[in-house]
Amino acid sequence: MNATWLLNLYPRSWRDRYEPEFRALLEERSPTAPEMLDILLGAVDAQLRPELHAPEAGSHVPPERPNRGPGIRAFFLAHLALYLLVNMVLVGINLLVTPQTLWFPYVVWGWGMAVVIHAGITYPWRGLFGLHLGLYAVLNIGLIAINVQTGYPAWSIWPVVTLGVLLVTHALLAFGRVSIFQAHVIATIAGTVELMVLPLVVDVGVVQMALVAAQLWVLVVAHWLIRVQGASLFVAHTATFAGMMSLLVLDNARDTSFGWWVRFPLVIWGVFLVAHGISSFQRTRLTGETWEVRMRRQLRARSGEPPRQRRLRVFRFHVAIFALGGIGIVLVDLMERPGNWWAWAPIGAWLVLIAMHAGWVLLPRMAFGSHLFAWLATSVGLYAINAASQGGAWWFWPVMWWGVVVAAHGGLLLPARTPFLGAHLLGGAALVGALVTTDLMTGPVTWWWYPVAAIFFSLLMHAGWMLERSRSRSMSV
Amino acid sequence: MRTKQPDLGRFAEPALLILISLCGAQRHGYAMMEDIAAFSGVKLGPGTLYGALARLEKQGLIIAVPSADRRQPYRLTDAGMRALREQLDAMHSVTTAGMQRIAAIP
Repeated sequence: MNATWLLNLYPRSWRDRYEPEFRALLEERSPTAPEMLDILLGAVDAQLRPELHAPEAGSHVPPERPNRGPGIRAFFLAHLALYLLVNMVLVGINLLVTPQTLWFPYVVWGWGMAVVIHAGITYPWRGLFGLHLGLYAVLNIGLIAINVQTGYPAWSIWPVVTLGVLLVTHALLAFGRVSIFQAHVIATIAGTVELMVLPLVVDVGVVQMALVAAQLWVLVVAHWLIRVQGASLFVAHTATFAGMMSLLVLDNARDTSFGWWVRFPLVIWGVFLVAHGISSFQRTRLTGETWEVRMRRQLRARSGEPPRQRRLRVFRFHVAIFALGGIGIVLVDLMERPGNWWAWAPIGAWLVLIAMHAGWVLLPRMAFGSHLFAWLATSVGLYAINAASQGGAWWFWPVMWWGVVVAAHGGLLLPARTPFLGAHLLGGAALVGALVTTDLMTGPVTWWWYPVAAIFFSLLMHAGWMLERSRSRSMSV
Repeated sequence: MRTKQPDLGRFAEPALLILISLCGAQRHGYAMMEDIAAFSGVKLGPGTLYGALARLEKQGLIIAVPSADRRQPYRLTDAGMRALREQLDAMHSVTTAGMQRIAAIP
């Protein structure tokens, strides 16, 4: 039995090291069926233990980030302790005061995602993969819980699968299994399978999904032209334009009840393409080089650019991607189910991420900046959701209590002789303010809430700090 | 002093057989399989063989010998020889203890 094809199941680094001799071994004697199973198990083992066979060869493993120092870790542990204990108290309050309306899961979930992001930044694992994995898990657990509670058909399977494809692709990249192009192909294969399964379970057309899948493959072709064939950006752009437009024309021709809408993207994108072509071939007066050559030269020169400038550039890129992605999401929403505005959810969530990114880039204290902006953006979003839906004004509560945490975080930035004193003062003041507000809005709060809450809050802030300090001392001995 | 043996999981026994096979001789993969089958009756599969080889090589107990042939020969390192001796000593004392207890049964 020829078993050499099984070698394809081994990781690239293993094959670089052992393939020639392994092939020679298999050529000596044709393996039996149990031996083929043994080779298969060997492939699984090799995939699970990449460190055994020269992981540096052809690897795309992102370098581990340097230790961020005890201060950063102390802050995270304080955050974690605060999260756990505050939520324990909130669960108690919810079950005692308003057992008929369970609101605590939303706090546990929303804040839990922030804790996971914080953990992923503080303890990086394979670059940002650890953060991605944690966020995926927490996000989907919450969505599944909402799905189960509301009892609608199982829509939560789709974020699990779709985001799962992205996660697996990230894992392949983070663990150095594949190149960026290979990861793109794998993600596209998985996306295609998902799109083909979709018509079996929900009310969408097979042909329409096939057209969407074909569009994903057009992007793979463009990537292939650039990465493998070394084509210019303009050639790849032209190929993408031709592929996408052909598919859109086909889609439009299937159903002209909304008229020939394809002429709009055809004209608008066509104008951009022509502009790209002109700029690619037109040499600039000053440097005598084309726009594309100049851009590539500038990209090379950017390796030494200051961190702040690089962060701004990445942020601008993120905003551009958001603009394009947002338009795409709205278009898909419009085309698929007009009147069912689901697009607001992903766009809203993405806007919160944009706000966090903006806070990270624009404010001198990056972690606080992103926290503050996340709070502001979420507050606006919750207000909008509340205004658009029926029922009383509930938006105020999460905004206010999260605001207490933001204030405590801001307090950390105050100059203080004792670490966390600023957080105690500012956070404590915000806490008392929130309690007084609750008192005024919902009727008298039992008096002992004030000292208990203040002491509890103060202890929490200190617990994380002491924990981390003792740990760093024991490590330095 | 006994050096700590690495945890090889399900590859512990194949690894020991490989160390014995390479004791005093350089062998490539197929020759190891034949030799091991001859002296122990154990037929190692190719996947198991190379799983154990990769571990032993990573731990510095064996080393690939430069060769123009595609069939890559390996040999024991000094650390590999020490590890083999220690493992066999340990097995020997276990065997001796077991045999003594059997002999003590009336």
